[in-house]
Amino acid sequence: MTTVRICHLYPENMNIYGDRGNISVLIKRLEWRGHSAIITRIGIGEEFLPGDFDLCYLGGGQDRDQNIIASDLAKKAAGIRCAADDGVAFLWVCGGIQLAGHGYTDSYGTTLPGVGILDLETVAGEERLIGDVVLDANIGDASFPIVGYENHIGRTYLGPDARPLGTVIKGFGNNGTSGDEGAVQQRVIGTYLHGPLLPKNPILADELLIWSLEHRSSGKVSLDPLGDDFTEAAQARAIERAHAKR
Amino acid sequence: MRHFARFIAKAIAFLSPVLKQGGGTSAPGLALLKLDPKAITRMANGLSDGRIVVSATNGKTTTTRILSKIIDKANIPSVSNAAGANLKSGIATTLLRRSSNHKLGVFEVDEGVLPEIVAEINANTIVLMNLFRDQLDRYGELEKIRENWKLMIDGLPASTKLLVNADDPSLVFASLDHPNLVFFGLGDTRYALESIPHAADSSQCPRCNNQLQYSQITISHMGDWSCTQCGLSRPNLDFEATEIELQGVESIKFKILSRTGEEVIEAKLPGLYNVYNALAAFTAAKQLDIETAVARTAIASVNAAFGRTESIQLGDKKLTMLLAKNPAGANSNLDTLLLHPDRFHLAVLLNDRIADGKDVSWIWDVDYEKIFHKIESMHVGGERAYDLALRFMYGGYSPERITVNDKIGHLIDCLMTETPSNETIFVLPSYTAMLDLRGELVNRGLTHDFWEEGL
Repeated sequence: MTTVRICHLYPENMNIYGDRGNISVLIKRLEWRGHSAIITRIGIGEEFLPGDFDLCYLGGGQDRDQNIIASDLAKKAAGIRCAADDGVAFLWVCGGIQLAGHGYTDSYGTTLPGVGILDLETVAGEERLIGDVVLDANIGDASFPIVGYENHIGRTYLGPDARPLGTVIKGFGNNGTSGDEGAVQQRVIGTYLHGPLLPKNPILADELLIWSLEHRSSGKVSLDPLGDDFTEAAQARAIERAHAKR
Repeated sequence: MRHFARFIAKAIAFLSPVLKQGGGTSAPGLALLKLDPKAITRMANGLSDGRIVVSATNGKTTTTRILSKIIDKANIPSVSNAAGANLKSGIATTLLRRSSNHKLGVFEVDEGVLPEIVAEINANTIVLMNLFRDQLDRYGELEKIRENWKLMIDGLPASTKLLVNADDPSLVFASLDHPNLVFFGLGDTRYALESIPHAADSSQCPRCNNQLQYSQITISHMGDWSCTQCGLSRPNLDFEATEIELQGVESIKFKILSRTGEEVIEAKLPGLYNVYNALAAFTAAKQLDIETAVARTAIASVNAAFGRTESIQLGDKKLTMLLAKNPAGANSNLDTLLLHPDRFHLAVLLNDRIADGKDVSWIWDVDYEKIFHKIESMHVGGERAYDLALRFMYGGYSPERITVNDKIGHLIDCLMTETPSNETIFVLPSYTAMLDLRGELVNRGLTHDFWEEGL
C-alpha cells in the first residue's frame, strides 16, 4: 500500500531513553495495516533533504551528545523548517523538544540554538524534573490520555503559536508550573515524555502515522484501530500506578 | 558519644537479621552515620594493611567476592561487604563488624558514591571496571559520573594504586595522568561481537569526540579501541586474558599473561563478563603479592553471588537466574544464554522500584531479539510485566506466545507445573524482582536467604 519515509535524526547520539522503541512502534503499526516504512538514519555531517521524508524523529541524548549535535543541527535547520511547513509529521522527544524550539540556555548561560519549528524557549532549571507522567492530551478533535516518564532539567515555555500537547494530570510537564506538557504546531509534536513514549500511547502513534500517510499520499487517510490486550493493560496499569501513592 | 553511637549501631546489627531487614547489611551503618558522620574514616583507620575499593556499573559484587575469596585462601584476615550493600551505610555496617585482627578491607562501592567513599576510607587501591548506562533517573546521566570519577582521580595521591580496565576508553582517559597505574583487559577472543551494540555509550573518543575504531569489541563499548584523530588508544595490558573458552552458561577457562608469566584460570561463572571479573580480582590479588597458585585455587572455588547466575532446583527442573539491571548487563546475559546448547524456558521480570531504576525505558535498548529463536516458552513478570510484553511484541515475538504473570508466586507455580522435567528455566530479573523471586523461593524452602551464604 503506502511506504512512509521516516527520518531518524542522530540515532547514534540521541538515543538514551529507549528511543529505538518509538521507531519500532511506527514501523510495526504501519506493517500491521499493510503499509510499510523506510527508515533513513541521518547523522552528523549528512544532509537532510526536506522532500525526502514524511515523518521525522529525534530522541533524547546526554548533555554531551546534545552539545555535539547542536551545531550540526543548525546546518540542517532551513531544510527542517521547510519540511515542517510542508506538513511532514515530527516527533521530537526530550532533548528533541528543546532543539525544536528557538533555543536552549544551559545553567552556564550558554544558548544552543534550536531549529524553530515549535514556538517555545527552554532554560535550564535548578533541579531535574523526574518521574511518571499522565496527561490529558488534545490533538485536533481527539482527546485521550498519554502516559510516560520525564527526566529533564530544562524548563520549557510555549509562545503563542504552539499549543500544549496535553494538560498534566500527574508529573511536572514543560516547566513544573504551567500545567502544560509538550507542544504541537502544524504537524510537529515535541514532548519530554519517554518510556519510550509510543508503545503505551498507540492513539498518538497512529495520529503521527495518519499525518505521515497523508503527507505521502496527499489525501485524507484513516487507520483501522488495532486493539491489543497488552497495550491496554500497560496503559491502564501506568495510569493506576501514577495515581496510587507509592 | 562515639562509643554510644557504635553501641547503638551494633545493637541494630544484632537485631536486624532477627527482624529480617535484609540481614542487617545496611541498617546498623545508617544509624551509626546519623550519630557519628565521620565513623567510616575513623573505623577504616584500623585497616593498616590496605583499603581496596572496587567500582563499576556491572561486576563489582562478583569481583569483590572473588577477591575476598582469594584473600581468604591466602589466610589474610580481611573484612568485606560481599553481600552487595555498597552505599555508605553498607560500608559503615561492614566496618562495624570488623574484628581487630582484620587489617585489610575490600569494598565494592556504588559508582555514584565512589569519590566520597574513596576519600572517607582513604583507599590505597582502586579497581575501576566499567561504566555503562544505568538507572538514569537516580544519577542523572553517565557523563556526570565519568566527570566525577575523573575529578576524583585527578585528586588522588601518587601512592594510590589504580587498577583500570583498559578496554573501557572512558576509564583510560580519566586515569591516564595518574602515575600509579595497572591496566588489565582482554586479548584476542573469538567471542568478540561483530558490531557495537545499540545500547553502547561512548564509542566516541573521550578526548576528542571522534568516532573510535575497534579491532575487537567485547561488551558494549569495550574492547581494543583507538582514535584515528588524536591517537589515544588502548594502553598496553599489564594483565591480559587470552585463549578464552566460554563453557555454556556454566563456566569459563582462560589464560592470564603478565610480566611474571602465564596462568590458566578456571571459574564456575559463565560469560565474557566474568572473565573481566576474575581478571580484575586476579590483578588486585597480585598487588597484594598473593601467590598465583592460591589465587587460581580460590577463583576455581567461587560460586556466583546470589541472583547472579544462581541456580536453584525446582523439583526436577533447574532454574537459573541472571540478574539484568541495565542494557549492557542484559545484553551480556543474552550472549551468555546463546551459549546454552538447547532451547530454554525464559522468564523476564521487571520492577521499577528505586533499586531497579524507576525509568524502565532501558528494556528497549536491550537486544532481546537475538535470543528469540532459543525460547521454548516465554513468561514476563514483575510490576512492569506489561511493558516487557510490549517490548517483546514490538520486537516481533508473537503476543500469543507471551504469558504475563505479574504475581511472583503464581509465576513460580506456572513455571513448576508447565516446564517439562529436566529442562532449564532461565530467569532474567531486575534487582528487586530478583529479591522478590528469591524471597518466594526461600519461603517455599527451595533456597536460603542471601545473607546466609558464604563466599
